[in-house]
Amino acid sequence: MPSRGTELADQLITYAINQKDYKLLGYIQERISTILNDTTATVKTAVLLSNSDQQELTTSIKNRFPEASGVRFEMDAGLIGGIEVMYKDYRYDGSVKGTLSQLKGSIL
Amino acid sequence: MEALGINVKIILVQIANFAILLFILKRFLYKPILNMLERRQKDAEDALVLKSTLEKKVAETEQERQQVLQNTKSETDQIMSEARQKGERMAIQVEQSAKEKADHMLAKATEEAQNKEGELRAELKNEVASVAISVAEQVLQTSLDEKSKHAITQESVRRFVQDAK
Repeated sequence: MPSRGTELADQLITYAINQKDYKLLGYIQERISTILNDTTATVKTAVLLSNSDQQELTTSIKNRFPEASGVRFEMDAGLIGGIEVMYKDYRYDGSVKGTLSQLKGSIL
Repeated sequence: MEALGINVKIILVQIANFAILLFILKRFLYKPILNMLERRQKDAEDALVLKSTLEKKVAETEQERQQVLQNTKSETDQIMSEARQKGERMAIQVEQSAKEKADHMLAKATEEAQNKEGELRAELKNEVASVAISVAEQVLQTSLDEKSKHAITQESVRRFVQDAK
């Protein structure tokens, strides 16, 4: 069964094809290419992390993805709590928002 | 003879006259009449034969007519029977076809109704879940203090680091 994200992606691509919006298709392709070629891992956090926590996360990410060139930390209050780690097509969602989203997915 | 008043000459003349008359009658009257009678008898016999033949012919014709009538009746009965059977079969087929069509339509309508119900249920479920999650997010966003958010974030960091090992 396709995930919600896959369904949304299919809908968006189908919409762009039906509307002959090749600019949107090009943008999607460019974004995917950018994400996949970006060797910087991104860590989103609900609150500002201490230096030691950032260092520990950076080490952990480097161990998991040795080819990663660096780690970028961003604040996102919408996560409510927890962290979100993204690297190319890898995604770890340990945020409260992500947990609620997973809960919604399991309900549906 | 004369004493008795009989004239022999006259008697002879009378006999001769009678013979002549007999000859003439036989020659010119009896024979044609007899021939005519024979012809008439023959005609009568022919007529009788003809009558008999005609009667026989009439009887045969009547018999043939009866036979034709009988055959026609049998054929008509057979045609009627076949037509009735065919009609009954067609009626059964039409009824069966109509029933199948009705069943199919009913099944389709039921399936569509079930699908629609399923879609509505899924939509409603999605709406309810979205609203519930949205409310939960807002409640958590406002109710969690910074300390709790820090604690949750650090727990999340700890889990990620443990998973990475």
